[in-house]
Amino acid sequence: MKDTAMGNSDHTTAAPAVGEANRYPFSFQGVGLEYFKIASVNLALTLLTLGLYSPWAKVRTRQYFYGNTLLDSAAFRYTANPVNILKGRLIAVCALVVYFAAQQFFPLTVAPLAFLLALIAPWAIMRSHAFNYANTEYRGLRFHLVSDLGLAYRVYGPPSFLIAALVSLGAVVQPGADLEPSALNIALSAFGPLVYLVLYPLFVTRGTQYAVGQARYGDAVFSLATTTRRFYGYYLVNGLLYLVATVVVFGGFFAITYFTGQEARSGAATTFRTPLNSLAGVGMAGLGIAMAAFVMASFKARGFNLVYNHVRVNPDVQLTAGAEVLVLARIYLVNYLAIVLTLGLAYPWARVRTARYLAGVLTLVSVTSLDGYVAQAERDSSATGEELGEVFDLGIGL
Amino acid sequence: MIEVRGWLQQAGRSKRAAALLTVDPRGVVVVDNVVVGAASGLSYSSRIGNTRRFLELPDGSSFETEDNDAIDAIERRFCASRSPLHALESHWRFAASAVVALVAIGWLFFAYGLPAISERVAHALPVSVVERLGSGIADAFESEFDPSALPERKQVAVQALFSSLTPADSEFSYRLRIVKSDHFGSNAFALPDGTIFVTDDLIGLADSLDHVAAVLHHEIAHVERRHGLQAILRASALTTLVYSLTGDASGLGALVLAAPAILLQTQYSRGFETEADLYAVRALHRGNRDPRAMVRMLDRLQGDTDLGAFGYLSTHPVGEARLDPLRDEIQRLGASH
Repeated sequence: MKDTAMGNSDHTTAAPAVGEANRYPFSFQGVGLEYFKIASVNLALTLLTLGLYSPWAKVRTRQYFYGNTLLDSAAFRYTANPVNILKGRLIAVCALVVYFAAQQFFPLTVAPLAFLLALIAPWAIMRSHAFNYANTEYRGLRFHLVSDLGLAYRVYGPPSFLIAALVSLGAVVQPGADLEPSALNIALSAFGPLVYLVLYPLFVTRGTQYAVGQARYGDAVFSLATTTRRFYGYYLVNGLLYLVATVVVFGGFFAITYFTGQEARSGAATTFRTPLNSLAGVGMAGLGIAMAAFVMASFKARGFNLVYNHVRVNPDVQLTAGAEVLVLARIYLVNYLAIVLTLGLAYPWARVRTARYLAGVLTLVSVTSLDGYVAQAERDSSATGEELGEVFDLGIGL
Repeated sequence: MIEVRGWLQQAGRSKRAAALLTVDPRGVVVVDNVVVGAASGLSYSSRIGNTRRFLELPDGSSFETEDNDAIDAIERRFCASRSPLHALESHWRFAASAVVALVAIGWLFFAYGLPAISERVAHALPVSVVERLGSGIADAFESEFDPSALPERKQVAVQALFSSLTPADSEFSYRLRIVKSDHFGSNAFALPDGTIFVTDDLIGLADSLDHVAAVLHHEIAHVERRHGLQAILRASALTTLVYSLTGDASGLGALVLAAPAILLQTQYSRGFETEADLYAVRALHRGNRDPRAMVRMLDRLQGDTDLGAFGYLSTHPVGEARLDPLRDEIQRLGASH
């Protein structure tokens, strides 16, 4: 077993012919049953410690998924210290409690708090990326983020402040509901979210460009060679798909409810009681799950390809991703059914087979061997940013 | 002598080469014929499943290997402390115990924890919040109904009865809507803000005002005890829980808890129904009405298979299990006279 692995390594370290690109496929070696044991023990420990163990569970889960991801017979490695994550998580939980308490008892403080959060958010998102990169290792070299705070504010500031504005608008409008709402208020509450929706692909493009473009692996510089137009196309296609699927599924349920309601003049909650109706109901539920699998797969596969197909490392290295919507949809469909039928026990298995597929469609193409990267001076990153970003779900990630 | 095959990773560079690491019986570690130090002084990455292990060597280089068993053997022999986590994570008996513990914790939480918490929170929330919540739902329901077709006299009588039944010291402002609905059959339900809907068909089933009073008391109980609010709180707590526990937005996590949550939801609503039934029986008794009206009304709904069994009863399950505690309570009330 060792010998074949060595053979691979020897082959790839040989200098390639000039101009001829080497293809290095990614692979994922995780096993469902093995991860099942890890996941169940970690979840039990998390619950038994009332959540205090969760940073350890998170680190070990990441270590399992990173460690099973191989490229050129070398494994990725996640090295975060759970204690740092615990500190960050405690800070984040305190911030959340303050925010919700303020929202509940002092509605007038919501707007200033929202803007305060918006002010912190770009820094937190940047720290989050920095933490994740600094704790990712491959061939003994760490990734890291070039922390450009000014750029982080230009990229993540506009969406953060737009959200803060929408939140405070909602908070201001609600207590005055007895008063006649002004035309301006109505216009703002209707168009505010719409503006955010229209600008969302732009925000995602810029965020992804920051996350990839500021990344370094040793002395290698990453960049994302894509356009905002492609992201708009991505959200347009998937948004329409989502809309059509929703209309079909809810239309179907409505049709069953309506026709059987006419027929039996029975209550809404009992529509699926008769054998014929329950058959139609089960059929519709099946169609719903299939549609959900297809839409989720479309989001995931197209997004995966969109980002990874345009990642460049220096000028001479690039990634190619070939995730297929239909293949991934079948994987998701089986996952959903297995999870429902086993009351959740199949969840670890489902995660592993998804990871295996996605790693399997990713290839690194490089003219040079992967031996030539050299470490750069790095700084340690705190976990606070990462956990703040995680809890507030600020839309980080590729 | 322990031999481990793997890769030697140069310090500060991505350059690596296949290498052989050996540890002699005294614990001296040699990589490719170069002594690197004592086995007890190296740092070993923790074992997770069968993922690669990494040994940090004193000169900043590292050694990567797939041979987990050999690394375990070195750690057992030369290192004072080892992480117990892999032992926990790799044995089926621990995994099985974990699953049992998860089911037990989950059951305790869903059966006792969540209901207790949601009840506390529901009663702690100010009425203004509850009313804002109810008004939205009421608007959504309004389109489902036609105006009542009952004679004006009958409607006035039921409304007057309702006014006499609502608790005088209630924080809620009650409103009774008598409506006609083909869709809902014989049905009655309460919104969290104190709006109560009763269908013509249900009033038609009642022989006397006592029967109507039984149903109205039952719905008033749902409002007073804030059952609707509790149900909403439970549902949102579940959503938050799913998200924070699984931490992935792929939708897989939501499915994990969806099935038991749906099963428990019916269990919860049954608890609410029993509580409301008992409230009604006691309130009827207090108001010098016949408490047996509640039992009779439930019986009648059960007998009304054409509409009732599919309307009111689908959300208000009837069986001996539901009626028995009522009969006990009625007997107790009778005995206290």
